[in-house]
Amino acid sequence: MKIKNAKSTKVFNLMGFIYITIMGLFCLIPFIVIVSGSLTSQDYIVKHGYSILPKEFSVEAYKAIFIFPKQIITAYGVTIGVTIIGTAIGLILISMGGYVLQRKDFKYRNSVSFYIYFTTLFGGGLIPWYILMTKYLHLKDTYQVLVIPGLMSPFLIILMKSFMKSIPEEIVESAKVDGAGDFKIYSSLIMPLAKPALATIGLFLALAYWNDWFTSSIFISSANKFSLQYVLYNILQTSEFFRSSSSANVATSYNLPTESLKLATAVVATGPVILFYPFVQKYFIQGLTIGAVKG
Amino acid sequence: MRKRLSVLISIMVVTMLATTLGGCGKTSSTDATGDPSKLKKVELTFYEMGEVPKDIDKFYQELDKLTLKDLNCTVRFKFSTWTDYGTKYNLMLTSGEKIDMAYSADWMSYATNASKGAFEAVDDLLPKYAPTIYKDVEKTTWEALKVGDKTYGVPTQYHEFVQHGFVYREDLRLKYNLPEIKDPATIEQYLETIKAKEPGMSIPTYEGSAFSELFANTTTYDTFDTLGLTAGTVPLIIDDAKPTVSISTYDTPEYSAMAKTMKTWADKGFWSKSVLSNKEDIEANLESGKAGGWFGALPAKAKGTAEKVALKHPDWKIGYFNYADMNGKVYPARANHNLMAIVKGSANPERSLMFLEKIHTDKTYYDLVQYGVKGLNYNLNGEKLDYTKIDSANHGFDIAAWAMRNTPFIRENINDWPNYKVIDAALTKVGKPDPFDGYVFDVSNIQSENAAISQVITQYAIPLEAGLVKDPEAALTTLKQKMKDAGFEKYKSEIDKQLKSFADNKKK
Repeated sequence: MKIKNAKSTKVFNLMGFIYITIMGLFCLIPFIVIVSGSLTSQDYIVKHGYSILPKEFSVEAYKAIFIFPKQIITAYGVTIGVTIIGTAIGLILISMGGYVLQRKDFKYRNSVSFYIYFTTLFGGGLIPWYILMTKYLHLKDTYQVLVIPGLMSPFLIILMKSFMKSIPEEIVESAKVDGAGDFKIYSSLIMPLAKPALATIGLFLALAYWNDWFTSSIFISSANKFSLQYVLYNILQTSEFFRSSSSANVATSYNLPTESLKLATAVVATGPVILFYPFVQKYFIQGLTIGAVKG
Repeated sequence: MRKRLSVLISIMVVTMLATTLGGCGKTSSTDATGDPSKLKKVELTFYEMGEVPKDIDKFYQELDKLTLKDLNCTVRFKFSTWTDYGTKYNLMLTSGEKIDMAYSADWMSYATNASKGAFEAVDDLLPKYAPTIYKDVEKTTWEALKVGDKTYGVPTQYHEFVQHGFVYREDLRLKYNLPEIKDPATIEQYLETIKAKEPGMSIPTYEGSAFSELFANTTTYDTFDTLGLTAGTVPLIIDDAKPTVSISTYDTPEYSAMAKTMKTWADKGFWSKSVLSNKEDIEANLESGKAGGWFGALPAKAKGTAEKVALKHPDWKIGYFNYADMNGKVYPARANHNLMAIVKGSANPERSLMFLEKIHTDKTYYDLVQYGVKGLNYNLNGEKLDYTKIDSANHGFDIAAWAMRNTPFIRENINDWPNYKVIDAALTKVGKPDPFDGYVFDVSNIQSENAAISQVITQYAIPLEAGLVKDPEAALTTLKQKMKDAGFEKYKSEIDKQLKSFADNKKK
């Protein structure tokens, strides 16, 4: 049976559609400008500015990025590997942490939660962190350093904990009655129920790993271990440095199409993430309301 | 709870301090073996700015052949890359990494790092391990490099000028029969014609420098602006006759005269009303034919632009007007412009200096470090560099060994912009030592005044200098008043004190 809409509802819907269309365009147009700008020749951009459709077609900028295909492909490999491994391990650790922290029979859960939370308020700062990583953990210039620092974050643990809280405790009890051990309960009962949380937090983790250039920047010194974002960011920074430097040092052999290059870089870096979104979107929307309503 | 928390916090603070300071407290282990014939095999680590060059492995192969034979060592370079290089450089120094020598310069805070103890003094080592460098570099340069009473850096043996000039389109000047560019009036005439006759070509994008360039170069004052580090942020200048007292820039008659000139230029539409927020790239604009002039170009930058334009638009011609032609004031780059410094805690300061000495005296080393592997990264056409057959995208060797340059060894390129030599020769002829070489502009005692004054400059001085105010006279009065309110007196007296002690030290 179809419910007839009142006129006011129709008007409301119409307004809503218009509003959402406009908002959608606001999001879409800049992206289209980026893509078309990346396909326009540098000279044209300098002279006439950006346009919706590329007026003077040129793939010069993509050539500049992919000029060392090996470097870009290696960097893609590094980033994909780090993202997958980091997200998987991170999810296991965070979900175990979150689960344990919300179990009422864990006596010191509040103290431990506070201990985790405390690190968000006070940190050692960059230099102690750097010294810890390089001198004590000897992680400089290794693949591990790209993964380990990002595995867990207090915010994500707390998020996971509050989601786990919304799973009725009776489930745990019933499983116990049936003779399941603690790990079995976690792996067979809690994990499937926590799928939305896992998807959300997994997405957070994956994005963080995907977009991370800073760790590469300070810890990695051999070019074959650079992550993708760092390689791309570095191309930009280098051309920027050579453009803006007022020092006579500057080698003048650099010839990079800056404006279009920047845009092409953005396209190359966002590409896979855009493909990634639709798959987790379903869970992501559910996950957004994590902890908002507790039954 | 509260008490426990405060105890906890203080423990943490102490721990953090301990870790931070622990990184700084490195003891140096300078073992002076002395005899170069019985050298132990070591690996030296050098820290350079910039990118990891392509073909680095092949480069190391060649380098190892040389260094193992002569110095019984291998040398490995670490590179900062241009992303966040400042942060990484400081991390390298503070965390006690194993680095033997690192690049340093005024723009990488040489004096500050040296006075904080990041570097090892080289005074005693130099005569013994790098005698030629010690002899070739002028005494005044070594003097200028002193921080406290020790020298911490080994400078480049390369004369270069950080003197700016005006880049314009010579072909257009000839096309419209304009007089040769030699002063602000002829620049004005040139710009006016461009504005009127070349509609597609706008104006030179004002990069905040038209004023400061012309002001600094039409007067005989010395400015504090070196290398653009403090460009336009110091409202003080010095009269050569009285080098111990600074003068307020805004009090000079030349300032108000120049402000009026800029007003007429802006009114004629040489640059747009929104220039101050303009982020356009003047170099790119010039290359694509959008801009007709560029105010703040170094000879080396002009060279780069001219060479690129020559490839892209063979019918164009780039002209260069040297501002130094107006007041004859040319100083070579300061002593601390490019340095190599021994990092505190280096295991092999002696060997590092010996390696530098090799680069300085042996052309085989020099060519390898500066240009890469012959045949792979560059070719020679006679004695000149020839890159025509080199795939520069895959084998362009570009190590930023700026502090290891040596004028007699530098090779010309067959594509060099011919004009560059003329400019360089002219600059060399009039160039004289910078009287303020070695002076460090230190604002640590006047930080709040400095911040306030920068604010005033951005808000009141820059629009005035860009000619974007209604009435220059009135704007200048306001500017002076605001300066006073920002603590100009204290600021000036601190700088005067520094100038005085600099002069006193020099006399000694």
